[in-house]
Amino acid sequence: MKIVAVTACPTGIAHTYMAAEQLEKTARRLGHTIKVETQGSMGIENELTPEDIVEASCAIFAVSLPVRNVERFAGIRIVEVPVQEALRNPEAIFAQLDR
Amino acid sequence: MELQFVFPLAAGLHARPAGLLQEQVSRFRSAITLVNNANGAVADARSTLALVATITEKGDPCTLRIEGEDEGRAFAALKRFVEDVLPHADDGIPSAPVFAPEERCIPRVLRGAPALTGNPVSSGLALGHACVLSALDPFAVIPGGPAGPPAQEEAVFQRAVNSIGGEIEQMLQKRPGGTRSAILKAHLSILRDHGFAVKVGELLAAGKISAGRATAEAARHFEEIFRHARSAYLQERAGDIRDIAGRLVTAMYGAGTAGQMLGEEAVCVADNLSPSEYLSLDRRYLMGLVLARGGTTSHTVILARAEGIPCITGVQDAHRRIGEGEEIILDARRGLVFLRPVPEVRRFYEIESLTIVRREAAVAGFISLPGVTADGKKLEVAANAASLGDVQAAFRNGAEGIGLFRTEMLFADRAEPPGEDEQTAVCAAAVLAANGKPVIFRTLDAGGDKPLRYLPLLEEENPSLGYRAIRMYEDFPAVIDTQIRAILRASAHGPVKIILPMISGISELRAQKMRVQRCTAELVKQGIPCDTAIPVGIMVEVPSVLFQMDLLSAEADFFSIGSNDLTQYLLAVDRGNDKVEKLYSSWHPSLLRSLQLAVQGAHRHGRWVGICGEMAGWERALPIFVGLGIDEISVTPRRIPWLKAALRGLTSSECVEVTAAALAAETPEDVERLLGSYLLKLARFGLTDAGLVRLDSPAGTKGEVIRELVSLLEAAGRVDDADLTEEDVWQREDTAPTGVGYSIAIPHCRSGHVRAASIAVLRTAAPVPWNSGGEPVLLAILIAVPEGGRDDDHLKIIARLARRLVHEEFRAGLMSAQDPEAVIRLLERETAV
Repeated sequence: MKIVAVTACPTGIAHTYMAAEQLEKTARRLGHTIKVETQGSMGIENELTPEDIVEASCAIFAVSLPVRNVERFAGIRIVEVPVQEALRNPEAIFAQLDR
Repeated sequence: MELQFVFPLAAGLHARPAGLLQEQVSRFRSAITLVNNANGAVADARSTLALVATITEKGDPCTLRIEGEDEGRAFAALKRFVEDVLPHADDGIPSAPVFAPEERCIPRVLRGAPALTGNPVSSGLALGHACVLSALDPFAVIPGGPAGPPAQEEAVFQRAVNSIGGEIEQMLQKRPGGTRSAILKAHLSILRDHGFAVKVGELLAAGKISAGRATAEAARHFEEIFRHARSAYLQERAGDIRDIAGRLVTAMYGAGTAGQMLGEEAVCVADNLSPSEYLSLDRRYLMGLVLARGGTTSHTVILARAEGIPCITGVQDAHRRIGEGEEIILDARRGLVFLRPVPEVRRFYEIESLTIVRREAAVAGFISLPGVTADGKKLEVAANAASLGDVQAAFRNGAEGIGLFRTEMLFADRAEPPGEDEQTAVCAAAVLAANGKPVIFRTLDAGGDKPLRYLPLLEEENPSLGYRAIRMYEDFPAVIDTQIRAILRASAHGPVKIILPMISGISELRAQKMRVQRCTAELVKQGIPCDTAIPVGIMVEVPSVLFQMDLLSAEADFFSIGSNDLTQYLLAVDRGNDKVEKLYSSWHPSLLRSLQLAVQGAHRHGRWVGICGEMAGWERALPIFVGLGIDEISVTPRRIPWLKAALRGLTSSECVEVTAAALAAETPEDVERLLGSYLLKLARFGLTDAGLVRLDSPAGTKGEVIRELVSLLEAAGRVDDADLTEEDVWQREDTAPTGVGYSIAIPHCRSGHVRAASIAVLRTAAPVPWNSGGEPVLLAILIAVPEGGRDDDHLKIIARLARRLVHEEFRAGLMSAQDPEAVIRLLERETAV
């Protein structure tokens, strides 16, 4: 499956990046393709393009802040979880996608 | 003959000034009496105690009546004394701190721990055992039996006076000068006081009373008078008399029960402590003082402050609540005393004292060195001050001058402006404390956001563009003339300069220079000494000044850049307005170009330029100041050693290069990035180093772990305020604890109290509970990032560190590292960008 994701946390220092790494790692293991945009202290990085989003079958928001430029995701299925969830239990997030 | 005067000293006529007056009077044969016309009290001026007993306070109209053969000479001498010496009698005595305890956050570990509280009057930290000094009741040793004949008792009294006098004189000879000797002299004058001797004589003559009893009674008589004084300062003087009387009685009959000797290090606890009791303590062993009373101005407190002994007063019933030999922690920074501290509190202070030692050691060597770069380019490091206490702190920290003395505090919170003598006393004391180094006084900068009760408060749409500073001077000539005269009078004591706030053009400068010249001429005419060629400079804060530097340099003697106001006026941004605040940045390339205009304009005419705004204290801005050739920075006293240390890491040629790049930069962010990476290159502050790593910490609670991590940053000089940084870390924890599983927590903060992006690592010997109900933690990594400007190089590394933590091999490496160097090697290898 092709997945896009966004991670963001209040200070944008740590959890944003840990969650991104964890999602990438877990996706690889489960055989998915994923691109994760981080919205952290350095602004938006690894930004998702309209093509990325169109091609994806769903989006994961692992965030404890509102996602910036959320209108990009109109028309795509979104699974939103608290950012800590991506650290603690990433498999469960991917399990939700299959449902 | 009669000499009229108004009593000038804020503390009232206490023993020191009274002693000085008595000394003058004793040179003449005339009978001289002091009359306090406010309360009708009359005293023989040959008696210090009688003088003090007139309870003369500031502003009381007084008369000195002089009658006798040499009354003419006496009158002339006393007139000089009253006008020139008396107003300065209290100068140079360390002043009590102003009690405006900033709203400090008590660190979490300490919250809830039972503590006694008091007024911190002399800052510091002491860990040790309590030595409770029982109140010395000298009169308890007076024998109860029948007294000898009056002549014999009189001789006993005289012998005691001579013996104590000899002791005090010996102490004076050993170390003349300073606060200690001023107090000893005051005691000597009480001891040899005419009025005291007369009172004892009267009591003895009445018969059936021993010398000891008469001494005690005479002391009680004067003590009683002082206790009724309005001024707390005079009330506290009662202790000095009791002290002397006690020593006399001890000399007559031997020591009482209380004169404990300190045989080992101890924190002394007492109801109150007299100055001589204090001086009799072996200060090699005296770690701190906890007093139940003692006020904030008692001689004991003044001595403790002068000698750097941590002290808090007003700890209710301290001597009864604290047991002899009890373990005690005195925190005279925060005003707390802990008895039999619980292990967490003890560990907190062990870490704190280690941190203080490490911090001070890191920069102590720089205090006495001049401000200069590695290649020898000078940049004077001076201090900003608003009070005498600030001035003293400045020179303790190695200030090379006072670059800006803000005089507003003298005028604030009172019904009327301060008089000339009061202002002169403060300014002169500041100049004396500077001991030959220059002091720059800024004339009143009121109005705008700093209203004063006795000046009109206008409803202005735009106060900072309105009626403030020199713009008000024309309407209040008396207030300003008085201030200028006071500053001029202070200039008789050492180098002084005047700086004018809010000058926008040449006519304003000319008008104020004329005022200074007129005031100087008046003083000269009155025969009052002052610097008749006092330098007059202007603040560079209104941008119009920048474009007339050529004209202004011809008439202003020097310049000081007020970078806060200059930034606000240049960028047209009100810092207090949330909506536009983000536009306010002293890193704006236009501001840097303004600094360049100011420096070039002034130097072309051989004038000197300093900078005294907030940015003057920014380590990161130092390369710009050096590169531009600024002559002086004026900063908060405690920043001085740090800035001197940082300055010595810079070379002027590199600074010139960086400055050129910064001046050419497009945005404030570019400037900041440029300087950030330059300093990083200098390795002033890498992101982390082995000093920020501690393995096998005994910390047992989350609070202890966080404190220890913050202390690692504090010891390295990476935070401005550890308590406030810790609070910022906690605020993040309070929203959601930062345990991330795998026995790891990553507490972090973005904080205005953090100076440089930093990573600190603490591994605990035993698991520590972190998230409630979650997995305990063995490894905590603190990530602290400064507020404001982005520092992408560091943030990238931090982001990468966060990503690496997800990987087990990396975590295992951290968990098993043998020493701090191994942790650093691992971090460097795995997070290299």
